[in-house]
Amino acid sequence: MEIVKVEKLTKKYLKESVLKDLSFSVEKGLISGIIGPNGAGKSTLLRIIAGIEFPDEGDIFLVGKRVKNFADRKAYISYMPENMNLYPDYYVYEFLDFFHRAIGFSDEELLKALSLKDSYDKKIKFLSKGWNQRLKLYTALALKKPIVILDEPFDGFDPLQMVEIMNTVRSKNRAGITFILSIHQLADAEKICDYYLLLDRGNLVAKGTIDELSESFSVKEKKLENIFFKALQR
Amino acid sequence: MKTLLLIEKEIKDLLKSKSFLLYSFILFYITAYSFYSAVDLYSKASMAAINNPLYATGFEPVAGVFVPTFGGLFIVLSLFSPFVLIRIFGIEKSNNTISLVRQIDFSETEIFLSKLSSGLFFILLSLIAFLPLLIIWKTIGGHLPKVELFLLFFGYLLYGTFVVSISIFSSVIMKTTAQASIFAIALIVFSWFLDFGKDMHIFSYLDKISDWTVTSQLKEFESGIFSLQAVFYFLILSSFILLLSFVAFNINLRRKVKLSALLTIFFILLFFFNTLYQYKRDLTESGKHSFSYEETVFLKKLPEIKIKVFLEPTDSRYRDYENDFLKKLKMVKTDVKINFAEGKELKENYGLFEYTINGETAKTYSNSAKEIFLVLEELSGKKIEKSDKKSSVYKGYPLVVKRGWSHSLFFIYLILFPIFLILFQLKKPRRKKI
Repeated sequence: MEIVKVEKLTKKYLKESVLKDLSFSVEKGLISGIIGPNGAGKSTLLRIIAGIEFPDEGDIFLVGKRVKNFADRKAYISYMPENMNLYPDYYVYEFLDFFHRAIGFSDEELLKALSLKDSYDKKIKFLSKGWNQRLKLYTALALKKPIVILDEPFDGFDPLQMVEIMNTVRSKNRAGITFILSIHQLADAEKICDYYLLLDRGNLVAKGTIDELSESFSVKEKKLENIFFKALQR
Repeated sequence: MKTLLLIEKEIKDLLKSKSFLLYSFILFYITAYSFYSAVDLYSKASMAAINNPLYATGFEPVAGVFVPTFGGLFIVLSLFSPFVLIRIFGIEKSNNTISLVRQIDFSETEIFLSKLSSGLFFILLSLIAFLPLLIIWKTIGGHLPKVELFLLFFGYLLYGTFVVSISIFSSVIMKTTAQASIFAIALIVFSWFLDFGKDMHIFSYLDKISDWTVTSQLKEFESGIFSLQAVFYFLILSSFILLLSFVAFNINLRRKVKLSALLTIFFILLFFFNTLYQYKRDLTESGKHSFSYEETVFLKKLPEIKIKVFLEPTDSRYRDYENDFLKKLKMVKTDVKINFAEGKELKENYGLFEYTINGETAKTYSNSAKEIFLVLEELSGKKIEKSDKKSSVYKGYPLVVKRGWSHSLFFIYLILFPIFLILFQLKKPRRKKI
């Protein structure tokens, strides 16, 4: 079942097209990864799907319904932008107190899974990048929306933390949440994603599972890196 | 309830910010210094008036002490408060946490209003900082003219609301907080340039525009005049800027330029309607902006008065005439028409004032109210009738202050409040349960 459908999406900044006539859909219950080199338009595409920006042309459909603005998407999507710097002067517990009071509950299980209680008494500005990412990930997941969009969610994690975080995302995915992730590290993407959308300079170059992509680009060794270079002819 | 939570967060963010702490130091220092200097000057000047009832009538606490003190607040509000206010939107915008707040069940209106409330709370705090000064003034034996003071507070509250709206607008449309601060201050200072232009009489149309600057409207409150037009002026201006900001802020609105243009047209019309009706009242205890009761009754009976002035607007005689007669006349007769003679006509009759009532014209060189009333009586064929109702005589409130008193109170004010603020900022927040 298509949970997100993008139709003929175009976005320009000062007459320069950053997204060119994109059309694709995302299946419910999958972890879809948007990959591509820097400047491909990954973050812009996520912002438009999340409703933070308007496209110049094209439509977005969520669960079969055309959505026009951010308010229309609120019930479906939670979005974690890459450059979000959570309240640096707050203590972790202080921020979580506000967040929990605002959403009306606290997800104790998720707090435990992300080991956030260990950093309760620290100021957010003194947290390492990895712990900061955990906190951001918690806010995106605790909102309990059916679609979670994460922009570069694995930046700043060491390999041990990465396993822990990926397990958390996997378990939420098993519980029925659809993920759309933007990832620039191909190895990370390969570990977590079921489906790929490959962008280059605003164009959708390829889409599919690793098997489908290997077949369409005639890549023998089914590795995302091989497909990536072949598709971009570099 | 959720909106209250957001308001609580916004106010806490504001009070805990370093820029607020720095602002408070500047506010306390400048206002306390302005107050101390004003009291000192008032006290020195009062020495000669203590035993001279005639001289004492010129001693008004609001004009002599509180307006200069609020002058300090004017500088702080205009030049420093935008740096604190811009944070309210700017920080969440630059940290991108605004997108998190938006994803929680807060509407765009709730987010905007909670941030606006925090800005208005900040202005209220800036004004409340003056209350201890009133207590100090009372303690050292000063007189508190309550209505005039309330009017002054109210005027500054309206001016503060204007500063809040400009700051919010700048922070919403500009990318960074630094750009927003420069833009907000440029907008505020632009109003001052128009005032300078008026004083120098560079262009006649500039004179007309500068009658409608925020500073010229604020002067009404400072001089003890309650002007309904000035109140509406501030309300219309601030609402306009805030609505433009809301359009720019609202992520769900698409045709922002079109909406902003419609709002601009609507508010230009509102501004125009506001110029059509005037209601002014002199709320000073001394009644310095009003004629006597008998003169007011006489003027109210007269039809439209046209005045032709054969003086340059920069001439000091015209300034005296404006202050001693024209302003008072406008309080009674809002339809009075004033024209300035130009060219050859001006040169040949320089110094004359020409009054026209019912097509009859009379000329005089005098700018004294007493003699002008004689001219008006002659022109209208009506007389100023004596009345049993006596206008109360203002006795004035000169005050000589012992230095030790004002010194110690001044330092308590200057030191205690910032210490209290630092302690508040250092306090670790309590954990709350859902």
